[in-house]
Amino acid sequence: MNPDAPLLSIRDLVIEIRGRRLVDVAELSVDRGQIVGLVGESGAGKSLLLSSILGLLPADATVRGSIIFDGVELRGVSERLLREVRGRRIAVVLQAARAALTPTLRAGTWIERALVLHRVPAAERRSRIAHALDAVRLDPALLRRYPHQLSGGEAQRVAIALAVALHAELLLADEATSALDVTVQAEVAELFRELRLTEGTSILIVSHDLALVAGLADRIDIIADGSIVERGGPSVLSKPQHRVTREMVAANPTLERVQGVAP
Amino acid sequence: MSGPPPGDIRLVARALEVRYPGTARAVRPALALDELELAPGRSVALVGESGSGKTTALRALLGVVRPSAGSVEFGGVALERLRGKRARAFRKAVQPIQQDTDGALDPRQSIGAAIAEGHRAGGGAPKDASAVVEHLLDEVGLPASVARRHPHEVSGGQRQRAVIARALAVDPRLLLLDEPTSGLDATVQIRILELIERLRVQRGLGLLLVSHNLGVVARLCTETVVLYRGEVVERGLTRALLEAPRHPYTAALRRSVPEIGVPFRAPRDPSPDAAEVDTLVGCRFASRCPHATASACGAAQVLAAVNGDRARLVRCARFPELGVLDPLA
Repeated sequence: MNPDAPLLSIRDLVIEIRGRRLVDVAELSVDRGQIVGLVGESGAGKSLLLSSILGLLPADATVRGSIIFDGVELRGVSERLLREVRGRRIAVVLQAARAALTPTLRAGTWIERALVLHRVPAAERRSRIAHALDAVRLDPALLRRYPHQLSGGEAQRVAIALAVALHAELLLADEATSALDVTVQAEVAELFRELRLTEGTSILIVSHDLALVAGLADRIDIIADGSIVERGGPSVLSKPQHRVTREMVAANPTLERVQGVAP
Repeated sequence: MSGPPPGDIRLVARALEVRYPGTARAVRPALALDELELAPGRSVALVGESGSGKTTALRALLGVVRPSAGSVEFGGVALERLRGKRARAFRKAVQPIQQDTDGALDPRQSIGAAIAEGHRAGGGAPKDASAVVEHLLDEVGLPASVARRHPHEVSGGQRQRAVIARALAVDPRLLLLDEPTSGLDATVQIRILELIERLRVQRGLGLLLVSHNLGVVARLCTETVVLYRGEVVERGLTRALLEAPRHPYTAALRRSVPEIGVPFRAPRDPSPDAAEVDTLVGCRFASRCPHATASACGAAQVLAAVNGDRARLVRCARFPELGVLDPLA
């Protein structure tokens, strides 16, 4: 594979459900080792776009266009081939971290089973898990816990640890920090930055939180009504061109407008 | 016993402690709040993360959770001793706005019917109901046609406006808001915050806002109380706390708020001493604190005035030597 080609490249992607065009994206790519933020409000098409990468669109959706991952077209490939990629080479971290785990399995068992499922040799499993725990700074004792015994931030680290243990090349983070407290959100965001540096993981962060993504991503794509309406580095937000971007920037609660008198 | 003076609608918590059943005596309470006063015209925020006790505080102020020590008083009378007319006055004056707007409205009732019900519950004449519904919908920025809709037929932002309209139908003086905008898009959130701010000014309401979002707090409240694992760690004017935090947790909260145009600020690592502090006895934040020392933080921490200002309190043994913390450094 050409190492300079984007790891993920989406072209002319159109998704329609019951005759309504919900996604119409001419081009979206993630380079190797890049963090890209896809930001939009509810109903903008973020989750549909993400589902299409994973081949998990609703049955009544029709799709056109191309989704190329590491040089291979994912659209129209067999479910068997897709499974090679989905969850292993492309990992997903969702908003509901605890729901991603299996409620009846200890966190450690859950990771172990996923490694078995993706045919990681038994001899490698233990060292991979140890490395992953270290990478996400998770106390190994927590692996004995069930999902309901983990905090939201801990559950999110378990989900990310699995991605690391599987050597995922692309991490899709769908509102992965939205349900977390701000201090925990900052810790998980820091973890994303570290993974990019230490593991070389590419990350597509899908979020409605413009400020968080602006601080993390190398590039930001603003999506509205199914299409990318603005794109650029974090500085794009200092001079937003599109109406939607301007509204989102203006609506972000800042710490500059503070109630009350000076101390 | 004489009744409260008319117009005394202060809601005051004194030496409030809430313990949930089954917790050992040695365990510190889920919430300890030395003092909190809410009155029309005041706006107070309770800030903290999950498990900090902020929702417990709000529930105690509503009388839904009974204090295990101390009291919550309305017009000078403890909530559990309110009877008859005074109990009705309390339920009319103090209205909660919940985080979960889906659960706040009856799914089988139209929004207009829900607001009319609030109007009657507040002692309003049934014949005025339809005019009141129309007026309140307008006041919260909803078209009159929303009255006929059911909760599932409107957007999340519209539903929160409807919930606010229903609370206003009772003609309250104090609003207790629990994360009123979480789950809403930013552009919707800002409109709801503007609405709450406008209502506070126009109706002279008192606000108690529970939130983990300092940006939201800064927008709505002049005073802020920062809670960490059930204890007040810092309180004072919102502006003072944001500009010159004295407790390391307040600084960490401030640091964690993402801002456009400011590069991401990684959380600061705990100090090497932090692991040695027994947080069951000493400072509860020590295990995460970049400034923790085994000697200063191992003992119970007291809430102390900053520069003799009783309105500005901080619970940190190291605060005099640490001085004003720069959360952005």
